[in-house]
Amino acid sequence: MQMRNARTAPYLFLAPFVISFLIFGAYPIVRSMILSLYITSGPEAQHFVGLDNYLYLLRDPDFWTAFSNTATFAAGSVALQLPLSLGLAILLNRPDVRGRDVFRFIFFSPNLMGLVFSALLFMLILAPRFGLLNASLHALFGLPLTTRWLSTPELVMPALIMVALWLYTGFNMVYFLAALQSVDGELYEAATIDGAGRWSQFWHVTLPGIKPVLIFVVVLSTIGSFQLFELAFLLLGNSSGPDQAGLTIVMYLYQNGFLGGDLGYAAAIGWTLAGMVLILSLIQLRITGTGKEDR
Amino acid sequence: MQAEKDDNTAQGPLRRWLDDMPLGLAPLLIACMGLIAGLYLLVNPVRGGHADLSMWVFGPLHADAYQTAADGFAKMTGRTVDVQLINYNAVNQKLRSALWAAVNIPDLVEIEKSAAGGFFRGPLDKVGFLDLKPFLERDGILDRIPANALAAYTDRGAIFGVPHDIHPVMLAYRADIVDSYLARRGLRMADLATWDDYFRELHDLLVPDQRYLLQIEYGDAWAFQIFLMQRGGGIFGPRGELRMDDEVAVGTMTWMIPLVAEAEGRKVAESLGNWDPSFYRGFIEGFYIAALCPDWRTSQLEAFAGELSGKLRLVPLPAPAPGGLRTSQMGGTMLGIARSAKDPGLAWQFARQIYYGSPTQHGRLFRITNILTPDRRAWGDPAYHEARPYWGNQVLGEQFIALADEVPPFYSSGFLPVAQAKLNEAIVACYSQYRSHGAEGFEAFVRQRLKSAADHVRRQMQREPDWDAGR
Amino acid sequence: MRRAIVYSLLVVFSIGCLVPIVWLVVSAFKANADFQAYAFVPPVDRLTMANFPSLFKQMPFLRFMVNSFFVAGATVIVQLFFSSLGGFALAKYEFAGKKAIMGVMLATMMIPGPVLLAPMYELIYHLRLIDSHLGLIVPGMVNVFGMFLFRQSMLSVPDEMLQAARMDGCNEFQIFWHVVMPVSRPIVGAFCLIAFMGTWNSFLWPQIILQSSDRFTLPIGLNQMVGVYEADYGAMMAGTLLAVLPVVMLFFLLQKEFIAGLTKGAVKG
Repeated sequence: MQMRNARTAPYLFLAPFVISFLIFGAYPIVRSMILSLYITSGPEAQHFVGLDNYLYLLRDPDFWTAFSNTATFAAGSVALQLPLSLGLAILLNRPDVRGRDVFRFIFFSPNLMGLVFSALLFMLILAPRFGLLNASLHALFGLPLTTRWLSTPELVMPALIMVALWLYTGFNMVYFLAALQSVDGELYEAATIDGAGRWSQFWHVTLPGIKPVLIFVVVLSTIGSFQLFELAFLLLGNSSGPDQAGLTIVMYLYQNGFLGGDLGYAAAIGWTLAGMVLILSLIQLRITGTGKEDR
Repeated sequence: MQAEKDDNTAQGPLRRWLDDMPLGLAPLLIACMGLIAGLYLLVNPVRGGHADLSMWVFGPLHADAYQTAADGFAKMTGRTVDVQLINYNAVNQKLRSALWAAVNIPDLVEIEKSAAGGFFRGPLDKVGFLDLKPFLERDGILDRIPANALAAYTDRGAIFGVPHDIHPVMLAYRADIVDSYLARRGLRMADLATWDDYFRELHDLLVPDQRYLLQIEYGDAWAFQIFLMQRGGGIFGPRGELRMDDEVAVGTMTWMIPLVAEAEGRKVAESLGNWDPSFYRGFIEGFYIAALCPDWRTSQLEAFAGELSGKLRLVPLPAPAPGGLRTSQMGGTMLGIARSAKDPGLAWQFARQIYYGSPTQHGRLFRITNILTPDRRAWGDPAYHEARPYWGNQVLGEQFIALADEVPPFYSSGFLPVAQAKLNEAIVACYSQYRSHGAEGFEAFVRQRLKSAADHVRRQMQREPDWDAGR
Repeated sequence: MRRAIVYSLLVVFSIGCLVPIVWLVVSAFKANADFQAYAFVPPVDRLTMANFPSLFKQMPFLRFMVNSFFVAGATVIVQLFFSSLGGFALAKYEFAGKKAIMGVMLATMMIPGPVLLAPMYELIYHLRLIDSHLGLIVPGMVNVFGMFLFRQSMLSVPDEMLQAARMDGCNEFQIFWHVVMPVSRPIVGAFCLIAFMGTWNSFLWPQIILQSSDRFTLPIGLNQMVGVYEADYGAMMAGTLLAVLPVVMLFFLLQKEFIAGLTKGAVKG
C-alpha cells in the first residue's frame, strides 16, 4: 500500500504543474506555432505561407539588427553583472566587514523598483544637459553636458546595459552571497595550511564551491537578457531608438505583430528566438557539464 | 540550530507562536495582507455590470470627457456606455489580440493615428472596423470636416475611423528673445515667410552650445515627417504606396540634416529631448528659441513650462519656399466602430455625440486640451475665440482654424512602423555622412540611402497577399 | 588598510545604487516645472507636497493598492503551495517522465511572453477570466522558477528522514507537509519575497487582462498616467514612491529569512 502510494505520489504532486501547463502552456504554444505559418491580420484573414515567415526572417536585415543588439546586451550584461556581483558578494562575505545587512539591503534595493519605474527614472536621469548622469560626469570628470545617451546610436546599448547593471547586480549578488556562505569553511583552512594564496583559494575553493549557483545565475541571466523588451521600449520612448540601436528581438516581434498587424510573422520571430535561447542554454549547460551533480 | 531555538524562545510568546506556524513569517504576512485586501474587495465590489456599449480610450482626458457624455447619453436614450481607459500600448496589444481571436472586442475604440494602419490590413470586408462612410454621408458630416482629416483612416475607399482632431503644426517661439531682436532690425516675425528667411534673419541669435534657433530631434523620424509633409511629401501615398524615397523626401533630408549636423559651422538646431522634462527645461532656459508645435502640444507647454507664460507666441510655420505651405500635421486620434458591434446604429449615435455633437462640449474640451476638432460647426463656439494670457493674449483657436483647411493629408499603412524605423536609420546615416563628408556629394548619398531604406520596406510589403483577389 | 579599501569599494557602489532612488524620493516632492531645473536636489523651499493630492485626484490610488495586495498575496500563497509540492516531487522521487518534465519546465522559461499574448487572450476569454483578478492568479498558479528553487533546496533533505516518517505511518503528503516543509522554511521565505516582487511589479500580462480601472493593480494604474502625448512626472514619481514602499518594507522585514533561505537552499555541489 505504502509502496504504491510512493509511486503515484510524485505524479499527483506534479499534477497542478502539468495541468496548468497543458492549459496555459501547451494550448497557446501550439496555437502560436500554427500562427507562425500564416500571414495574418484577423480570424478570417489568414494566408497560409508555410515556412516562408521563417525563411524571410533569415534574410530580414532588421531581424539580424535586433539579434546583434540583443546579443550585445546579453553579453554586456552578463560580462559586467556577474563579476561585479560576485566581487561584491566576496567583499561582503569577509568576516571583518560590519554592516553587512545594510549593504546587502542597499545593493538589493534597485531591484524593488520594478521595470516601468526604472525606465521612467532613467529616461530623466540620462537626459542631456539637465540629467543627473551628465551633470555628475561633468562635475567629476569635466565630460560634456550634452551627451545624448538615448538618442546617439552608439550610446544606446551602453546606457541599457548600465541600467540593467543597476537593476540586477544586487539580485545576483544575493545569490552569490548565499552560495559563498554555504561553502565549507574547513576547505579554506585546509587551503591556507597548504599555503595557497588568495587567488589560488578563489580558484580552487570558492569557484568550485559556488559553481552550481554560478551556472544557475549565468543561464538565467542569459535567458532573461535575450528577452529584453519592456525596459528598452519604455526607456526609448516606445521606440527602437535612433538607428534602431535599441531594437531587440522581442521588440521586433512587438512592432510587427501588435503595431504592424501581422501576428503570424511576429510568432515566427518569437519561436526563432525561443529556439536560439534553447540552443544557447544547452551549450552553456554542456560546457559547464551541469546535469550530473543533480542526481 | 539548537542555539537559534533558544534565542527565539527568549524573544517571547509572539516569536514562539510564529515559529510554531508551519511555514514561518513570510507566507503568514503575505497571506494576511492578501486576506485583508480580499475582504476589502469583497465589501467594496467593482461597480458596473452590463452596459449597452463598450468603449476603449487611451487618453485620460478623453476618458473623463466621454464618461460625462455617456452619463448624458444614458439619460437621453436610456442606453449605457462603459468607457474604459486603457494605456496606449495596451490598446494595441489588447485590440490586436481581441480582433485576432474575435472575442471581447469593444464596440467603440480610439486608436492613435500611427497605429491605425495596422488595423486596416486584410480583405476589405474582413477588416475589424465598420466602414463609416454611409453614416457620415447620411448625417451630412463629410461636408463639415476638412477632407484631409479623413485621409489617415481611409483605406481602399472605406472610412474605418472618424477623426477626433485636426492637428496643424505651428511654430512656438520665444517672443521675449526674438521680437525685440527683430524689432531692432526693423522686422517682425510675420516677415519671416520662409525657413530660409527665418534662419538667415535670426542667425545672430545663435550661440553654439548655448542657444539654437530651433528644436529639431534627429534621433527619431518625427521632425523629418513634419518637414516632409509640409513640402507635400509623405512616407506613404493615398493608395498605400511607399514614397519615402521620392524627390520630396530627398529634398527634405538634404535640407534638414545640415540644420542639425555639425559641419562647416552651420548647425542651427539641436534637441535635448522630445517634449519631456528636459525639452521643457531647454525651452525655458532658451537653449532653443523655437519648436515645431502642433495644437495639442500647446497645452503641454502651458502645463509643464509655466515659467514661459507670456513669453511664447505661435506663428504659422515658415514655408519651405515662397508661397509654400505654412503648416504641417502631427499626431491624431481616430474613433472606430467594430464590425462585431451588436448595435452599430447605437454605437454611431454615441460616436456622433462625442465627436460631432454640441459645439459647447467641444469648446469646453478645447479650453483644456487646445485640440482643434475637425467639426467646422463647432468652430463658432466662444472657446475658440478667447485670448490666451499664456500666449500673450493670442487667440489660439482662430490661429488653428485659419490653418485647418491647409493641414496636409497623412496616409497610414500597416507598414508604417517598419517604414518609420528604416527612415530613422536613414536619418542617422545621413547625419553621420554629412558630419564626416560635408555637402560634397551629400544629395547623391541621401538619394541612395533613402532608396535602400525604401527597398527594404517594399520587400516586406511584397509579402502581403493580395487579399481581395479572386473574391 | 585592507578594510579601508573594502569599505570604500562598498560605499562607492552603495552610492551608485542609492542615488537614483534618492532622486526618485526627491522627485516625488518636486513641482513639475522644477523637474529638470535642478539635476539633483532643489532648494528645500521649492519642494512641494502637491504631487500627492494631484495623484489621488487623478486616480483611485488606494483601490489600486488594495488590488495589488490581493493579487500579489493570493498569487504568492497559491504559487507557494503548488511550486513547493512540485519541487518536492522532483527532488525526492524517481519516476518515469521526470527528465521530460524538467525539460519542459526549462523550455517554458525560454518562450518570450508576447508571442503567446494573442492565444492567451483568447483562452482567458473563453475561461471567462478577462477583466478579473482570477485571470491574473490562475494562469500563474505554478511558478516554474519556484519549482526549481524548491527542488534545489529539498535535494539536501536526507532520505532517512523521509523513510523514518514512512515507518511512522505518514502518507506521502503528510511527509511533504509535516517533515519536508518545516525544514524548508528558509527557502519558503526567500521564495515568498521573490514571488511577491515579481507579482507586485508584473506589468505586461495584467495590462492585457484587466479592463475596469477598479480592478487595476498599481503598475497598470500608474502607467495609465503616461499618455502617448503627455505625462505628469511629479505625480508619477509620487505614485511610484508610494507603490514601492510596501515592497521595501516587506523586504526589510523578511531580509533575514530571504538570505537564510537562499543559503540553506544553495545547492551542495
